[in-house]
Formats: sequence, structure tokens, C-alpha cells
Amino acid sequence: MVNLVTSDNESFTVEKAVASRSVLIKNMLEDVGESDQPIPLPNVTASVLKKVLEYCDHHKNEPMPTSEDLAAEDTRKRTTDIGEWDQKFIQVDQEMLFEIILAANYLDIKPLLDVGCKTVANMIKGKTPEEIRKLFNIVNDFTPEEEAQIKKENEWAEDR
Amino acid sequence: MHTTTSVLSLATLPTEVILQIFSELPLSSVLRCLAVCRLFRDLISSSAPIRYAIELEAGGYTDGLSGSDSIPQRLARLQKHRKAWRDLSWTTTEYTYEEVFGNFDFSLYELVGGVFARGSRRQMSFIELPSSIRGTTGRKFSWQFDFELGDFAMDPRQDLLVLVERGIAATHYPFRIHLRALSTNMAHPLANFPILEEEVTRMYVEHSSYGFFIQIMGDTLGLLIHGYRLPSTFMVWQWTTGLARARMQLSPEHIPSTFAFLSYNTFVFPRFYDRPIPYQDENTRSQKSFALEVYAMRSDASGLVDPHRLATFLLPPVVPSIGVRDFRSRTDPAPVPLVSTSPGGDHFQQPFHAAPEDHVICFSIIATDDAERWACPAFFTRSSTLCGHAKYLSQNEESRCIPWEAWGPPNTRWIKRLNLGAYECFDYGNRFAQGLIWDILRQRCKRVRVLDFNPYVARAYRQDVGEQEVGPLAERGPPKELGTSDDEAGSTDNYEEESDEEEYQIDYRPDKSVESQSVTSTSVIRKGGIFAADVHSSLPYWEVTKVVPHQPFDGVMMDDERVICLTRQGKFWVHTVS
Repeated sequence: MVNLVTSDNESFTVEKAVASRSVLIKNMLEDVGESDQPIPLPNVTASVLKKVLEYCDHHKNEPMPTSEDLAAEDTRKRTTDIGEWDQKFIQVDQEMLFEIILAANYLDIKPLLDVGCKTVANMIKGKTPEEIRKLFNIVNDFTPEEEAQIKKENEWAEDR
Repeated sequence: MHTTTSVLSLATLPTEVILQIFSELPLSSVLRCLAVCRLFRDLISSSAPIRYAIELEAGGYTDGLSGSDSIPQRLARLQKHRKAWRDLSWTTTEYTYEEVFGNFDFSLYELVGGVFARGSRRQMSFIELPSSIRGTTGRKFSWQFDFELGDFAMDPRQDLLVLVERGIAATHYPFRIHLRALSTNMAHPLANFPILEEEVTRMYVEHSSYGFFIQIMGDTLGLLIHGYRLPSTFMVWQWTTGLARARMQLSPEHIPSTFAFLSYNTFVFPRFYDRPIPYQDENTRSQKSFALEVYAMRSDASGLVDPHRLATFLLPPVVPSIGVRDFRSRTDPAPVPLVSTSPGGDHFQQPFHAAPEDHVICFSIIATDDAERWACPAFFTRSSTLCGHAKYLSQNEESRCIPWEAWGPPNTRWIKRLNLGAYECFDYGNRFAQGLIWDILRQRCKRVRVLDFNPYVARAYRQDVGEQEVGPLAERGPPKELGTSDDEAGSTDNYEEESDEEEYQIDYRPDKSVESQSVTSTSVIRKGGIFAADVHSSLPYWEVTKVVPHQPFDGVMMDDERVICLTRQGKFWVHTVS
């Protein structure tokens, strides 16, 4: 078993197979060897880690992606398909979605990061710039002229 | 104690994460993100991988697996390549057939992926043309065979040469297909069985009037053996394993003379029915019809089941008196990335190439109307249209026939006359090339025309050249192979197009050597002749024409990087577009 301590000082005891879905933790465990020392995760809060561990637990028996898989994925066009369980899992509010993405990025859990990024991509897909700004609370820092110019330049890619 | 006080938002995620999100988006959404805020715009415009992805999708390309170039290098090459095709900026090299192919009497020829090949009965000669995309210089080679060559096909990127051995009547030989490495003329290293044998009806062997049609798409190899009023055989193999993926016996009526792969698992047969299509609903049947039948192969590769018909795309209604001499597809399937393990194959790998899932297919018709006047219209459509529409049909829709009006007008572009002569390899990916006739009497060309049917291209370049609206394609010249004089063709037609006199003047204007336009308007071929109703079509395209800097020529061939102007004998000119 592995003991993980979050930024808000909660500790989680999980199976090694679950914790090792995180490449960061896996490498730490390999570096320190067998030890009962708790592993501090200063960038992750308890509520987020709980969610992330739920993901890791569900996927603990799947083979880890190899570096060859990752290389092949880069050259091929990615698909935006997300598995059924993952889709349900990632149905969270925006704040939590970004927290999960940040945690997956920090803990180096590539499949979870992919699920998060694909989910955000699916939210963006088909929306106008105005809708994207509204959805994600982004301030429009273009002048009206700049914005009109950018839109005009990229009109050709719009579906008729 | 550490607490998060700032509210997380998309814009506060790490840069590499935002870029990964963008990389999951289709082209149109990425470009919309450009207009969201400065941060997004700066991230996108400074990321070479995303700009490369945009450039690939906008041009209808897919990344190759050549590992040597970095992404910024590939981006730069692709931008240069696309711009060169937009303006037909090329460098010209003159060759004579004799210096390249020797003094042999060749009857078969092909241009694929930079390799120009000609074949005679027992020999083939090749010239690999210099490539700026791949960074290779040219070379010549030639192979001999100990059997009589019926036909051949090749795919240089897979180092694949497919040879059809013609059967010998006296021995009731089966057909044999040899799978060889283009670079060595030895058995192809990836082929489990270097020779595929196909038992065909003895009628073929005893009858000399049969022909072959071969197409390669990745590891899929299709062969159609057809003869006039003879049953035809259509075979598809996975050439690497030698497994048969499809086998069809086609009855002598309505035999297609060609087929075209739309994807690894689907293909289309162009067919003319001179009686009502048996599977069509009775209330919508016509006496005669042109049909594009789309078939799906089963992916389990058992080979013993017939492919099943996914859908039939009907063409515009025709007059009952129509007589059809030819209806065929004309396309080279876009090559697909495949990691080659043979040394010769690596040589032909390149950083990017036309996306296999979407290429333009030309379908041409040669027919007579009720007054016995010849007509040879043609149209272009994209493979994704045929695949996409076929997918939406529900399984239980019995006839699975899609009427012309339901798919054709927005997804096709018709031209009244297709002037092709004998040369076949004139399209690649989304592009199509032809020679424009300048000398009516001798039917020779002085101008090359290239059409690009990638819809993004037509719209993007239209902005570049301004909002000009231009008329539809006007076809030049009478059908060469049928020998009608131009007067007949011109005076009897009631199509809307420029007068021929005007056309030929337009064709040769040395002072305006390059002309281009974006065509997004609808064109009409008026009812009359072979058509029972007006034919509207509006698939957008980009057209660029250029006067050649050499003597008149008879026809063109093209691939991803060049247009070759051919004469019947003597010289040919390779225009490398770069």
C-alpha cells in the first residue's frame, strides 16, 4: 500500500497498482524503494485526489501506455471518442474538470489528461468565439477591428 | 496550509495543456479559437504542430511517416508546396522518350508518386523524377519479366510493383498476380505470398478481348477482369497476407469497366442500367439510369462472401433513347502511410501526402442521344461524399437508392465535355489536370489547367483574389477519340457556354500566362441531348491555368508534385511544381 498526502493535509492509503497509474508516483516509488514514508502531493487537494484515485482504481488493471504507443499517437490524428465509463466519470462542473486536468498533468496520468482535454475540446467544438468566451469566462481583449479582421481571414474554414 | 483562491479557467491552464486541447479540435473550431482572445491567438499562431495540422487539413493532406524532418521543416515545405500548386509555379525539364525508355514499343504507362513507368510485353522501364518534397534526385531503372505482362500497377511509397501475368490459352493457366519490390524486381518483402493466383472462367483464357483494371490502396489490392459481353470477375486482396477480401462474379449485363476504392473497406462501381434497376422502388424507377453503386467489404477477410451494397447514388435522369458506350471512374486512390520495412520503400517516404479518406473522383460518360449525337460529359465528386451519404442510410431501407436531387447538386461539379485522349493518370488527391486545346485541327494543347476540389481551397483562395464571381467551367474542344468535327458539336448543343471561337482565343494568351479563379457558383447543363432535365451542380473548385513554355502537347499526367505534358512520340516535359 502507498500513503499519499494532499496539499490540504489529508492522507489517502491506496494499492500500489492504483497509485502507479501516475507516472510521477510510480517513479518516486521506484526511486525510494520499499518504504512506508508518505508521499506528499503539494499541488493536489483532497477533493481532486479522491476523484483522480477513482479513475486510477477503475483503470488499474489496464496496461500502461508504452512510449511506442505515445509516439504512434502523435503521428496519427487523434480521435475524440471517450469511453463510456470515462464519459460518466468526467461529468463534473468546469472547476473540477480543470482541477482534474491540472492534477493529471502534474501527476503524469496521460490517459486521464487525454480524457480531460477531449472533454474540453468537445465543449468548444461547434461554438462561436462569443459562445466559447461565455462558456469559459474569457475576456475579449481584441479591439472590434482586430476581431473582425481575424474572423474575415478565417471565414473560408466555416461550414456553409 | 495551501489553499487555492483563484478561480481556475481554461485560460489559466498550462500552455502545453491548452495546446493539447486545440490539437483535439477540427480545423474550423481551431480557427474560431483564434478569435476568442489574444492568448489563444498567440498560442495557436506560434505553435508549429498546430499550424502544421491546420495546413494539412486545409490542403487535404495527411502527415507522412518520414522521420527525418522536424515539424517546422514540414510546415515550411507544405506551405511552399501548396502555394506552388495555387499559382502553378513550376520548373520544366525536357526529356525524350528514347533517352528515358529506350527504343521499345511501350503500350502501358503510369505515373505514381514521382515514378513514371512504361511497360511493354516483357519489360518495364522506370524513371524516378527528382523530388523537392522528398529531397531526392532522379534515377532510371528497367526490369525484365519471363511472362507476358497483361497490366501493372505500382505504389512507390510501399515499394510495390503489381504485375498481372496474362494467361496462355493452350495451358488454361489461371491468372497470376506478381507482388514485387519496385526497387529490386524481387518478391516484395512484405508479401506473404509473392504470387497470387486466381482461377477464372476459361472463357477469358480462350477469349482475347478482356481487359484489366487494378487499384492499390495501402495494403488493399483490387483487380477487375472484364471483357465485352463476358462475365467479369472482381477480386480484392490484402496483398501483404494474400488473404482474399472480396470476390464477385459479375454477369455480362451492366459490367463496370472500372472501380474506385473509397476507403479500405468500401469501393464504388460506376454502372449504366439500360432497364429499370431491379432493386429500386417500383414507383421511382426509370427506364434507364446511371448509378454509382457503393459496396462495403467485410472486414473479417474471409473472402468468400460477396461485398454488400451500401447504397446506390443515382445520376441525373437521362432520355430513354440514350446509347451508352462508356461510363467509368477515373482516379488514383490517394496513397496511405504505411511503414515500409524494405530499404527501397524508405526512399519513397515523404513528409506529407494527400489524405486517403478524401480524394476527388472523376466519372466520365460517353453516350449518344436520340439524334445519334455524341456527348461526353463528366463530373467530379469527392470520395467522402459517397462514403458519408452511404453511412446515413438506415439498414432497413430496402432499395438504398439515393435520388440525384438528394445528393448530387451540392456535391458534384459537371462539365459538358471531358477531353482526355488516351492518358489516364490525371488526378491526385483533390486535384485534376488536363491540357486545354489550342490547335483545333490537330487537337494539340498549349495550356495546362489544374482544378483543386478541396472545398477549403476554393473558399480560401477566393478571398485572396477578391470577391469575383465567375462562370462555370466551359469545356474546350470536341471529343478527341470520337472524331466528331467541332462544328457538329457546337451547333447542335443548346448548353450554356461560351462560343468556341471565344474559347480558343482565351486559351492561348502568352501575355497572360497564368490565370486563376475560384468557382463557387452553380453551373447548369441544360436539358437536351442525353439529359432529361437540367443538371445543376455546385461543388466549389479552384482553377489555375498556365501556358507551357514548350511546343504543343497531346495530354497530361499528374501526381502530387508535378504535371507531365506528353506528346505521342518524341518529347515530354516534366513540370515540377515547387
